[in-house]
Amino acid sequence: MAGYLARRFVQMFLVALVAAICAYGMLYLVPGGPIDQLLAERQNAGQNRITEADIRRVRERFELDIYLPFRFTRWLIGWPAGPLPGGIGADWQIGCAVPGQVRLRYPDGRVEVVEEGCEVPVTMADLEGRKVSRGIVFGDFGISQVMLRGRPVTDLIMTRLPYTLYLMGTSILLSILIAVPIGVYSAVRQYSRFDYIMTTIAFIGASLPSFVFGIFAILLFSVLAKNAGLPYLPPGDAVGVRDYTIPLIGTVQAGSFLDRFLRFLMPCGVLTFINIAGWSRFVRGSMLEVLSLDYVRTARAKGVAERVVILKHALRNSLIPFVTLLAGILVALFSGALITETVFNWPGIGRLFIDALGRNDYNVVMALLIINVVLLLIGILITDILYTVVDPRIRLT
Amino acid sequence: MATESRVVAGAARPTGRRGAELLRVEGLKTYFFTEEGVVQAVDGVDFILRRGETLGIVGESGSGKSVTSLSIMRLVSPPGRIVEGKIIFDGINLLDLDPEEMRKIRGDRIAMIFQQPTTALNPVFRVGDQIIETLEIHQGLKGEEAQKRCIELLSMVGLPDPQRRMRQYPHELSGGQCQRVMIAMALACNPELLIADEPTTALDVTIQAQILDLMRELREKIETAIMLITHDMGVIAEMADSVVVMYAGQVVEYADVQSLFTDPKHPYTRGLLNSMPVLGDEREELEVIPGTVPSLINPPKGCRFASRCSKRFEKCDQPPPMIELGANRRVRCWLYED
Repeated sequence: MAGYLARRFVQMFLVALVAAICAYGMLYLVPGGPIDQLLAERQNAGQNRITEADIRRVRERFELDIYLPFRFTRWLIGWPAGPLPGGIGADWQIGCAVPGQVRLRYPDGRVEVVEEGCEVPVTMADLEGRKVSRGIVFGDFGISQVMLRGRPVTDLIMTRLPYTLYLMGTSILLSILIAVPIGVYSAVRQYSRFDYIMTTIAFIGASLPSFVFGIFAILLFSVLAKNAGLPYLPPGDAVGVRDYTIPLIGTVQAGSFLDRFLRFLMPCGVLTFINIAGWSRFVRGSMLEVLSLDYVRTARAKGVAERVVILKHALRNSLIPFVTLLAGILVALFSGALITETVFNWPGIGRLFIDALGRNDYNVVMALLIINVVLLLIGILITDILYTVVDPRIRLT
Repeated sequence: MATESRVVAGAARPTGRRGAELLRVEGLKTYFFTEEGVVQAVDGVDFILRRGETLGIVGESGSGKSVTSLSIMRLVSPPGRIVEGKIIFDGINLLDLDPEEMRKIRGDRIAMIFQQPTTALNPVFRVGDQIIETLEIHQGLKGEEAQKRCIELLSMVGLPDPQRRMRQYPHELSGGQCQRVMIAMALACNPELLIADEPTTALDVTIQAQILDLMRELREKIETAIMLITHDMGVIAEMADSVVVMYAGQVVEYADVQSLFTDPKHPYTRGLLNSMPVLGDEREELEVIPGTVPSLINPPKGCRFASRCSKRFEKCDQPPPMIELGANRRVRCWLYED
């Protein structure tokens, strides 16, 4: 077991490293970026120009003036942060602050300016004094370049994490508690009216995208209910900013427990519904398979009561594949729900990720991606270990 | 004898006289209501099983042997349903019992062993615990007492090192060992009737012989009536006292084992016996019965075997009645109409 775990940890480290390289590379390969964003902002403000100095400043802030491999290692392990010991390599070029320009003259008289070479190089010595993280390997996610302007990414994540844990934890727990009994009952009463209704609802729930349910819920419970003078639910945010009055309930103070609870209901309900839809189908299918197996018949032939046949002999076996979902659950618990959080303006990790992507806050995006990868790897490891607990036929060697 | 069976039995039950009627199946019809139509898997089966007797039920795949046995246990699962008939066990019609009363009989007074011992045991529970579960349900045995009885049962079925074996999972045992565990489980409460549904089919030949020996030995010890379902005439010859031959959901012949082998009446029975290899036989090829079992959704109106029968004549278009040929000898064939 110890040897197995050791091998797994080495494997996990390598997978995480490859994932980090891919994610980092792809993030910077995507067109657009901070400079285009700055340009867009200026244009919106009615200015059509950005100066050389602006570009240089932005490139430096986002470390775009350092070549990608070095940018990556700086992010990964905080190196290079300056010349090597003894001043070696102080003049090595590892980036380019201002790209060179070449004027091309075509035979037909057209003139084009092309970027080529480097006019102002960045050397190892230039890195001295620049802010650098200790490296993600050592648990430092760097600073938020846009959203918190120079404050650690960790701070940003920590302010959002409670909201996501609270939302996802509750909805996942509720989903399991509801989906498993529904799935089991559907399987035991296959083709009954209950089964037909539940499979139909589950089918709809699993096929429609989550924002449809989110928007429907807002329309129904916030807009229509409010217009009809019925008790309604606040349509978004985790905490209100001013007091409001709800028919039959009375005035709700912003920030009170009631306020938080009311705002929590809809996103939690939508997520729970979607999870139940998927998982109850999963449990139903797996239960149906097990119920037709020989050992279930043996249990009945022994005179085991039907309830015990289902809850002990069949359920235990049918939940073995359910363990596979646990890896995904661990990730979901941390990373939240991108779409549902956005629809309900819920200040969780999912929305943070969307915001960070939209605002080119690279370090935040990378931090969230990497944490996801690591959690997924840990989740898979836990799943594999759990398999040996629930199924004696499986052994890790 | 009495002391010995008490040691084996633990809680001996007052059994009736050997030879008294234990099980009587009358006009049993079990149909499966599928989308393609109604499958008449068992269509009017009658037989009697006496205490201490071993009744063999033979027939090829799809003849309704297994469905008959599941019907007796009332374990036919949808879309199958027992449509008609009586299953009288020790004076009570099992089909009149409510599910809870039936549950109490299963595993206690009627036990069953199955064809695939490796899949018939639950993979996530230790085999000992699976035996103990039966003891717990029907005899209320718990803890050390149950463990002791479990070890006793396992050594009774000839499983070496029962203390260790009972802590193992089914996948750690071989097919033969699993079948021994199944037998121990079935015999845990000294059932009056043991239904063995092709207990040796999935095992290789040497193990088959061992399991049959074991069953014979235990039959003497425990005085259980056995209903042995098989498609293997050899197994019948070795084990059975009397034989029911089934074809396409019906009983076509009923006889004691001696008469059946020396003087088979029904053309189908003859076909079955002729298709069996005999040691020292000089024949180059075994005989086969031409054709296949008819569809049970729309069975032929007349004799169900007619299309494959070499002795077929006009009358065979009418359904043949069960014809009595003396005590304990019946055949469903127009040839024997007087």
